[in-house]
Amino acid sequence: MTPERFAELSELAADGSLSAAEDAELGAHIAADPAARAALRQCLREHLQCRAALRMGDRPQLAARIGQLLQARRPSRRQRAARTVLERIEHRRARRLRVLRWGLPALAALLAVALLPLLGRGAAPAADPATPRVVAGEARLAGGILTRAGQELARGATLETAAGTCEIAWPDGTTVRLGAATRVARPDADGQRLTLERGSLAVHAAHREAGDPLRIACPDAEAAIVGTRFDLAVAEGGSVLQVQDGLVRWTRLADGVAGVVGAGQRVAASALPLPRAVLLDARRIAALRQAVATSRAPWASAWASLRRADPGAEGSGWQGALGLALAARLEPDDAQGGALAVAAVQRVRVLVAAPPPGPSGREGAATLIRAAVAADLLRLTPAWQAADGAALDLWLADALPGVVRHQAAAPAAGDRWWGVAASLAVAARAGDTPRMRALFADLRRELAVDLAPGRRERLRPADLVPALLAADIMHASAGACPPPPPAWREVLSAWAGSPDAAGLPLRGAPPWRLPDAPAGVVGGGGWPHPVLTGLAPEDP
Amino acid sequence: MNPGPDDLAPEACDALALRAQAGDREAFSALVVALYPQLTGFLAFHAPSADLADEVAQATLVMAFERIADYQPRGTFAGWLKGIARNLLLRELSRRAHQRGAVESMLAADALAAVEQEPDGAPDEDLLARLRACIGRLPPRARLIAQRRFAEDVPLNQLAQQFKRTRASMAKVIHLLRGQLRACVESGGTHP
Repeated sequence: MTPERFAELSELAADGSLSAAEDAELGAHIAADPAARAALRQCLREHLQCRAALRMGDRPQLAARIGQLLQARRPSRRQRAARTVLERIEHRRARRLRVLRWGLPALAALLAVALLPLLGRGAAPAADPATPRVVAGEARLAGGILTRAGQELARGATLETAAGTCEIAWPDGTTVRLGAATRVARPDADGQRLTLERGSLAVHAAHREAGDPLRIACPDAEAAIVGTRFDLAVAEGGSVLQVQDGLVRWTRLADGVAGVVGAGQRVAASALPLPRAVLLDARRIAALRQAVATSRAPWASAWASLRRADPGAEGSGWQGALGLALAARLEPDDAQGGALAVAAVQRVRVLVAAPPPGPSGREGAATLIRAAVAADLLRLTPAWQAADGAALDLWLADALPGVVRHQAAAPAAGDRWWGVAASLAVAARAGDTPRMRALFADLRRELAVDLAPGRRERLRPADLVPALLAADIMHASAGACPPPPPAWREVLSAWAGSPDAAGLPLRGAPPWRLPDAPAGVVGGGGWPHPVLTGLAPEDP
Repeated sequence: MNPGPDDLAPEACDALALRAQAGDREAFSALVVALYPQLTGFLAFHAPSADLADEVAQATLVMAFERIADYQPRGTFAGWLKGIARNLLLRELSRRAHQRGAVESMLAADALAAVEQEPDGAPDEDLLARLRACIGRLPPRARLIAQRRFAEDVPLNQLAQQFKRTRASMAKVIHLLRGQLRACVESGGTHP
């Protein structure tokens, strides 16, 4: 491993954001080289020491934080009294269990009825923000005590539903609904945490700081949530997460392998790690939904165009399938999104059953890219089946050689690059990163030649689109993208303001896109996919 | 934990601990504020990750608050607090040594062995103060990078974007920056 790569991975380790592949790469390196392991330890130690050094100065702020912490921790007198009595009951119950096993349920129920008013009124609104309360429905605590609305779920307590459901809520608005036959425990730990032992939960997490996620542990995996809605179920086959809105970091406990699951996706812990996205990963989809929800231009108008265009109309081919798939993932309404996903999957099945496209210019290559992206968007929706993926792979395998041969022989550079972009999308779908790197390196070399003065005049702005798409696919699927040739930015900037570039998705994150391109470049009422798939909405 | 220049004397700690035991939460807060730099210094030395250091620091304060009645005032409050932190750290490290990804598991195992072998190991008493002074003497751009990276926890990817660099080159810059700070601290804070 080069020192540069080691420094990069060390910094990612300090962030706690190593991907599974990076973790394996760095793990293998430090396992084989004790000096590297020591160097990594030193790097992380120095990182933490710098962090501690810069945070030690603000004592008033620290005092305020400690005050808040203690306020949240302080049990009321009434709660302390109730806890003491409960401990006594528990003690007596254990003693009597030996001689009076049959009499306990009635005794516990009687005592619980006497204690519940104390528990329920004990905490004022300023109580521990990490303590949830029962707000609706019915469940039993571990001792068989029936809960009631307003009752706190103390640290270490367990809650169990029978045939009905029960809802608990935290003061920040986070709610968790327990399905029937569900058992959850609140661990003796800080923060909003629950352990789902069996059954199912529907969670609506209020937004909070990134460092303070709601954590829900299952027997084989843990979900960490910043602010979102999702369902979580534990069955004999393992834990399954389904996200309605936002993002959830889903970690398998056995090996620490994690993935970010986004709106509309459903992932079993056993399916981790998630393959990389072809073009639009869960974070990008979440950012797009946010941009649409906050009416940010140009995403909101592109979304409106997409809905007006009726992509589900017959005859719209893969473009329509991609439109439906995008709409399914962007639709804020769960039921509507689910229906769109079903329609999109059905459309894909029809298209895959038809013969693949012939070698017909740019459109053939664009079709393959649309197919790969549409399938990727639908891959983790509940409607998508494993057989759909297999059928699509066969279809792509049939289509790709003809399209690529035709494009490679095309005289126009832009046509050839479309062929490369299609190959790249298919390789991304297969997770073939070495092939992607090789394809992209070839494309980059060709670009460098064709952007040279004297040759660049033959290019048109639209010729750059496949290169932009290819760079986006590299970013999303390979995790990194080599920088463009030096002349790239110069040419792109020169074209950004020209009428020829109108409608092209040139604006976005550097270095391949222009962060400051005029908004008009991405305006227009054309087909909205380039805007929704090509522009980075992550930055406000 | 060794007392730093701004820390309370053991007798003053005990006086505050006695008031805290009687229910005076401001006394407890004052005690913790005074000892917090030592606590974070201890955790920064031993914990392999920021989230673990933060988690243990907070759990230590909570446990100290809940168990303040158990403390016997013999001028050892700082050691008592460190004992809580060490036990919590050991517990969490042994959990992480078996449950996390490859790198974190190995680092947790190393840290576990180090804490068990050298339970009182800690940085120099004024290391953090020297480090802070060294960061303060960095050139403006390097100081800004240090502020973003260490005080504001800006991740590498975002930092690279903010400073218009690639991720790899940003990592290299941070690596060099830490080397500079190491040299400064080792020289007693006299340069750069």
